[in-house]
Amino acid sequence: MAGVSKKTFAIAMIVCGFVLAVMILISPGIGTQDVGIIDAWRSLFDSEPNSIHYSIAWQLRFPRTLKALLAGSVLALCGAVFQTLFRNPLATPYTVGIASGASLGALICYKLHWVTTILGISSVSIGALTGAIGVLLVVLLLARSTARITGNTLLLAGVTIGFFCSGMMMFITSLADVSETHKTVRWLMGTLDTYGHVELSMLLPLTIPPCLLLLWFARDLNQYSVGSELAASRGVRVERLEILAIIAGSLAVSAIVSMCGPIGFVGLIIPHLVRLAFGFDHRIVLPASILLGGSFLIGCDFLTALAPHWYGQLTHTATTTARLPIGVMTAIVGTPVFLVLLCSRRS
Amino acid sequence: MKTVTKTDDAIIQLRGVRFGYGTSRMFLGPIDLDIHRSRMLAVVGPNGAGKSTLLRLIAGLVKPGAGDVRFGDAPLDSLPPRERARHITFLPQKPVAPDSTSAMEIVSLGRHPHRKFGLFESATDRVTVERSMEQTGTMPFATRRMDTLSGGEAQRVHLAAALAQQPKVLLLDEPTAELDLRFQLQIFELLRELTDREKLATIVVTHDLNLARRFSDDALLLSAGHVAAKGPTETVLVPETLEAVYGVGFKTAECENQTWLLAQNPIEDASSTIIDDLGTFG
Repeated sequence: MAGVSKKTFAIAMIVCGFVLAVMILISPGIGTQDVGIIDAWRSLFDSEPNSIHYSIAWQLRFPRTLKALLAGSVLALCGAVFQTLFRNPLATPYTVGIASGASLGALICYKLHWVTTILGISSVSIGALTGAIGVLLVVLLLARSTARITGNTLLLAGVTIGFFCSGMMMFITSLADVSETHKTVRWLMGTLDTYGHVELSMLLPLTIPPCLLLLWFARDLNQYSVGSELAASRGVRVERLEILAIIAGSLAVSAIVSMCGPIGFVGLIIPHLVRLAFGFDHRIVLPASILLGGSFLIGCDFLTALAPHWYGQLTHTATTTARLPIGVMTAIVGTPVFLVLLCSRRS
Repeated sequence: MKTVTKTDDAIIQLRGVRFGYGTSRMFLGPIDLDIHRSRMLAVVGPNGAGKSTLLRLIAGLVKPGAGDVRFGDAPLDSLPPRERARHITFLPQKPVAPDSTSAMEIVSLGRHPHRKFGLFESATDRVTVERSMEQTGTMPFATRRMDTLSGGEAQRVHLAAALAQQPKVLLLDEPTAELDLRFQLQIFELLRELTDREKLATIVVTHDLNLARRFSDDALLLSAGHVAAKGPTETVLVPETLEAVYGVGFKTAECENQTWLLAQNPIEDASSTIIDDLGTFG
């Protein structure tokens, strides 16, 4: 069978879709409070609509799950696209310096004590989004100064601006007090904390259209992965593909970073896992990355709640109700999973 | 072996084509050239002569700084990229294959210009891919990963992908570079066969003058961006023209009805010379 077969595609989507469905179904029942899966689902159909169980499962946990789903999906999708565009297996959604820009924006908000909500959105998120989009615009302007914008010029411009933002962050942090520094460090570890659905509904217009555009590019990205010259000779508008895909991906990631902080590893390892399992074809890699990226981040979010509880049981100390930062968990879980898969494939 | 037929109208015409990168001076041209179907043209010349750039101009990957490249009656740059790709295919010098791709996946990528909105390959796509693989003898390793194939096998797979594009014009940039003698012969025999059977206009950039002389109908000799000679192969690839361009002495030897070119020592004070058009070609 030439190219991607319907059978391979169907298997990939069923497997990844099943994993995601299971994660979503059990998510209202997993957290720091003692409300299990059955309690959570029973509360949804109870006659008492605002019970404690209902509030914990469906007003606190489920919005977190949706946020994790959106963030994981977008980061994994953009990671897959950026690894192809930059021809670099280490490329991540943050390669063009977005995370540094967003972090700098967030840090400035903390430093200026501008911590409030506007239309239900945190001012820190607004600052982070401004920083991320600002960096993207600067990078594009720098890259445009060359004869032709290419992945490499964008990469170099992004890395340079990223270093500049990191330097500025260190400068501001050195002037900050303990409280501001703690808040910033905590933000840099990533968070899925959410209060209701307002944040999520604001994220959708910034993330869904760019993601749809990236999915539309799947066949062009297949061509691009065998060389930009060969792709151009087969009718792909290479320069347009590079610019649109990077802008779309960066915009979607900016929105995610502004709400969740720079959550690492998802955009790096999920595309590799998908390729190891299903091959290089972007018609499978992109949608499968969306499904598995979401599942992975939901799973990691479970562990941020359960790990402190397990630690308390093991050490016979008081169980804490605090969650671990999500960025810590993605690194702890992602690294060994990826290494095991890599080694098993080589063997 | 070579055909003697020459088809009527040129499928591609270059008139006064010149090219320079960015704002630099035009280093290539002026070039006038007619390219016909069922003919194989070998583009030869020293490194930096502009051979690969000429191929990119004909492929529509770069636009000329001056002059016209026409496909049939239309200017080449008036064709949308996908339509152009349905007529002209270009195989770069070192095509790459992503990790873990199979030979058939690489060949099926060649169908890109013909595909519309569907997610999967159509029945026509599958038939064409299989036919291209049969033509190039790559069907036996269709499911093998590209990184397990030899250089010659991989090059035949990329050639099959080019054929899957169903082109009228086949452009190849040093298709036998880094291949051993056996694979070099195999690739050129295959190109000759495809040119005749599929009525392709084939243009091959090569450094192997003997393969060019043996398999191609016409030759274009470039020197420092200028046409040093063009015409039927046996009139262009001769010691007199080659010595002036390469700065190396050449001799010929006859063996089994073939003329072979033998490179000798470098010639002192050799300078590139533009030689007049030697034949009726172009």
